[in-house]
Amino acid sequence: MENLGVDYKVFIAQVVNFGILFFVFSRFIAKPFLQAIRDEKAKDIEKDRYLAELEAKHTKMLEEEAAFRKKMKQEQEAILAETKKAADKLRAELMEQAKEDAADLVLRAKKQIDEDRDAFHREVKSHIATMSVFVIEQALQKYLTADVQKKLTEHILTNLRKN
Amino acid sequence: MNDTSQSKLENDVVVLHVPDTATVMSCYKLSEKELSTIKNSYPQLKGVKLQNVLDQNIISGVVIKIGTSLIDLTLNGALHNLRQNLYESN
Repeated sequence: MENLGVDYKVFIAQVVNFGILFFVFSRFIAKPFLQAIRDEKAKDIEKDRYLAELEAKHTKMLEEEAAFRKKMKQEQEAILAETKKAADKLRAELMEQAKEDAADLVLRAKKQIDEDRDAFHREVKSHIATMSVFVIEQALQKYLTADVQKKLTEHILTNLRKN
Repeated sequence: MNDTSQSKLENDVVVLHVPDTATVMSCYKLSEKELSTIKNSYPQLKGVKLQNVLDQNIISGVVIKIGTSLIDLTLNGALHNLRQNLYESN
C-alpha cells in the first residue's frame, strides 16, 4: 500500500471522517430530507385523492344536473302538452257556446220577426176592418134617406118582437 | 152601521137595480107603438118609463139605456160587430 502511495493513517482518518460525515449526513440531513419528501409524497397522494374525489363529485353533480334538466324538460313538455290540451278543450267549449249563442240569437230574431209580422198583420187587418166599416158607415149616413132609416128601424123592431 | 145608513143603502141598491126611467136613443122620434114594442120585448122594461132621445149619429135602429145596461140594436152596432169579426177572423 505504501508502494502505491497510500498512507494508512491518512486512509484510516479519511475512513473515520467519512464515517462521521456519513453518520452526520444520514442522521441530520438525509433523514429529515427524506421525511420531508415522504411527507410531500403523502400530501400529493392526499391531494390526488381529494382531487379525484372532487372530480367524482363534479361528475356526479354534472350527471345530476343533466338528469334534473332532463326531468325539467319532461315536466315542461308535460305541462305544455297539458296546457295545449286544456286550451284546445276551452276553445272547443267556447266554439260550442258561441254556436249555441248564435243559434239562440237566430231563433230569437226569427221569433221577433214572426211576432213583428203578426203584429203588423193584425194592425193592417184592424185598419182594413176599421176603414171598411167607416166607409160603409159614412156611405149609409150619406145616402140613407129618413124613410129608409125608419123602415130599417121598424124592421129591427119587428124582428125584436119575433125573437 | 146604523139603521138609517143601512136603509139608505138598501134604497140605493133598489134604485140601481130597478130604475124608473130608461132612455131609448134613435135617429128619429119613435111612435108610441114602437116604444110599446120595445117595452114588451124586454121584461126589465116593465113598469119603466121610456124616454126617447134623438141621436143623429145613429144610422138606424135604437139604443136602449137602462141603468148601467146598454142594449144596442143599431146598424152602427152591427157594423161594429162586423168590424170585430173581421179583426178576429184569421
